[in-house]
Amino acid sequence: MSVDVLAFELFGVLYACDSVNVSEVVRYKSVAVVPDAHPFVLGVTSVRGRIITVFDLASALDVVSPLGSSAAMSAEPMRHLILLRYGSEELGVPISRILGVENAEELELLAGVGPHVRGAYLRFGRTCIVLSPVLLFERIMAQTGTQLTA
Amino acid sequence: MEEDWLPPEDPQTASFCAESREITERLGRALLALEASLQANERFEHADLNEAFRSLHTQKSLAAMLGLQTMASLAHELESRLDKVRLGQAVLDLVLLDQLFDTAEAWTLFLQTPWEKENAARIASQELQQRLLFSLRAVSAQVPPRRAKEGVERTLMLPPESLAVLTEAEEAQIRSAMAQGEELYQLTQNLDLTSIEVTLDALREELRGWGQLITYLPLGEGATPDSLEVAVLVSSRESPESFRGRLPDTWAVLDLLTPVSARSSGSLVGSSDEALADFSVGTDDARAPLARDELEHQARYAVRVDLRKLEPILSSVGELAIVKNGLLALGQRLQRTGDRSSSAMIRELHRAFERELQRLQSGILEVRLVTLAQVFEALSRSVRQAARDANRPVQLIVTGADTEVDKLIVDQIGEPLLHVLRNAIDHGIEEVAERRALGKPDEGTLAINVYQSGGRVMIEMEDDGRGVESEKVRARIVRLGLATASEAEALSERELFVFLFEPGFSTREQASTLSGRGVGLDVVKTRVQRLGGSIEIRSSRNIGTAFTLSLPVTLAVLRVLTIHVSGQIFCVPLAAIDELVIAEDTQLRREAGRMFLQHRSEVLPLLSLPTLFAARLLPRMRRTNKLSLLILRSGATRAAVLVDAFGAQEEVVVKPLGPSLAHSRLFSGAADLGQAQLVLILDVASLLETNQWGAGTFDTDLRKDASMDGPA
Repeated sequence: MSVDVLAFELFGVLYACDSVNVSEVVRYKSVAVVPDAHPFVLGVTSVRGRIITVFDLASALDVVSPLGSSAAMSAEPMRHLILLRYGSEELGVPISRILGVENAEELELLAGVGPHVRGAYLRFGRTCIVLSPVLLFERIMAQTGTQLTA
Repeated sequence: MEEDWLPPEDPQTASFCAESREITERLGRALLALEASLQANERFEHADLNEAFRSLHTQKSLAAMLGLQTMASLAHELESRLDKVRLGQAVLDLVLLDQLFDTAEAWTLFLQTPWEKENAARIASQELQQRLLFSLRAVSAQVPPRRAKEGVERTLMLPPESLAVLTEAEEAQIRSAMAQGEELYQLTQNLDLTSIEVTLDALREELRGWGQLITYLPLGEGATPDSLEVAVLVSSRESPESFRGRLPDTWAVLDLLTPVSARSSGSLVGSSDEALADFSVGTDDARAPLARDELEHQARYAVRVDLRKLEPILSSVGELAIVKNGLLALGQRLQRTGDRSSSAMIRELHRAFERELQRLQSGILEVRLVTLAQVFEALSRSVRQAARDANRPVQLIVTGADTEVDKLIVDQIGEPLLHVLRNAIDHGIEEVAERRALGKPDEGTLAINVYQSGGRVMIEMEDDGRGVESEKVRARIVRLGLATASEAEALSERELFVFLFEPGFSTREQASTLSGRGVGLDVVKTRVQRLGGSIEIRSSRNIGTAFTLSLPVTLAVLRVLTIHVSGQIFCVPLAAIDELVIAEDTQLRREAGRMFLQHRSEVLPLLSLPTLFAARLLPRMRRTNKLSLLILRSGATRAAVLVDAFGAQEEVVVKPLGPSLAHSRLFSGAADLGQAQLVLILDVASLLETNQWGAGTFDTDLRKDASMDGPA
């Protein structure tokens, strides 16, 4: 199986997602925290006048994330914001580093990590986990109790 | 016959719906006017009859074009019936009017989602239209058309060449006027060719209520090459002396055309004792011609604008505002570096930019504003039906329907308003016998008054029914465990009525014991709040109940005050701020675990935003023992809200939060202040609700804030 992906790094881990779901990548600015939002929601930001809800990918992946905690100041700086299409909405995911758009061949299926992970491939000797943004956001929405029309 | 349905992908579907909605609204307006005349036992205005006829005719053509067979057939049957009325061959009675009203209702239902085959509204509309079609065809088959009674030429002193150009409908109108015992006058004036229609429209409006313009006939060339001598036929119940007195001076009465022998006391206009409801929208008589002028103007010059097309323009205005602020910052920087001349030029440019930007923004916002008239016209039809269903005579009086408000509000406010009005009819207004026993008139009154106050549109809905029984509400609060008996006893009437908006507060059982108030009122409140509004209720036993809705005029732009809380900027709509207060710690009081502010002679509940937001934003240390407090208002509720610091007043373009944050109860949207600064807008109505009846957020220890202290 071969798929075009956008590869990126977050807290030292390599991830990739299907480039079809990526609408654009912009420089990450600070977010306005929404105090009554679910912890997965880092806040909202404006991209050329559009209001984008920004999610903490690491929290959503059950990886310990320093973004939503008081240790944010010491966390690795987030340089980019990936805008992913999800139904009628665009959702933002801040990441540490963009690695590029590439063709991921021979995806190795990973067992027991959930449907939001499509598999993994080797990238210069390091494992890159390929995410399914749609299934990932469905998981986020289910956990935050939000209904979206995908 | 195949059921009416429109394919969603057809590009004509959207324009058909938009145009049909306008036609249905016009039809509804004309029907209400016709019904009011019939119920007052007055002769109806032919202008209204013609308007209804034209609406049906246009709708028939539109529906036929898109293959909507049921709609086209129904429009055709009703158009034929009204044509007969125009020609004096049939009577306009309340039965026919009911069928017309039902048709308007069915079309309104259909136009909600004509592209969804399985939608309940579309199915209900189809069934209703088919029933109407069946009954109309059955009646048409039984009743032979009436023949004209006698020729107009035998009773009117009109020259044959004038008579020759009268249409059948105009002849029928003349016959009808004479049968009513009215006089026929021929007026004359030298009219400019370019403005004949405008002048005649003005005359038509001038005559409204005491005469009717039947037609006009050219008499010959006028005094100038661009003018025409015109004779106008007018019917009126006024005597010749009185008629001359009321007529504008520009018109001369050429002749009284009606011979005494031609008058008859017979009536061509039907009336019925079935009349139960009496409706008037915008009853201010002095304003009625103006409103009609405005409608005519709109019909001729208005263009339809898809609101979505305005969004990017408004967004650009927001971006330009950011550029404008950049210009100001540049001017200030130049000032600091000593380049005063350049700084002055930049500041001048900034002022000009600001002025024009404001004009541009106002212009865009005005396009979004529409009158509430269309809401009340639709409501009038529904209320009329509800009054008939409940078998209670009710008059609906609406004033201020021409008040303008954001189109998005107009689209969404109808349902909550209808809910309140139906409640009033079902449970507020008493049966006739009960009203008589209380010394009230048989006919109940629903009065709606709309007006603008500051930046808000107020809608007051008042009935003269039985009102809410406070004691039963109190008992229900205790039974539901919402308060103890002693707490419930201590509640003021205003505090008591707040519970009527609680979800699940009223059940069917309470609907009878609590005069029906509270049934679904939580839904009404939620809808109103979603539009940035608030709702309040006042009630007096046996006198009536009044609901007051306060809504923003526009949802697109908001004047706000920025505030600092725990290192982040938020903004609060200015309309919700009563005052800003710098208080001392000594003004705070703690009672039963809740904090209050002693402010002048008032004790206000106090909410600390740093504490409320502490789960996500770390409270900052405060450097002084002064407290920055906003006194906020939502409806009649006032509360003090603690912030770290006040910011500046801004005018912001409101942007909705995405669906993933739609459940946020504290924020109604976001706004871009420029320089990458996005701020959240507090939803004051929801915020103050968190303070209702000892909500946890309010029981927090303010001293924690006091010790942590203010903004950086």
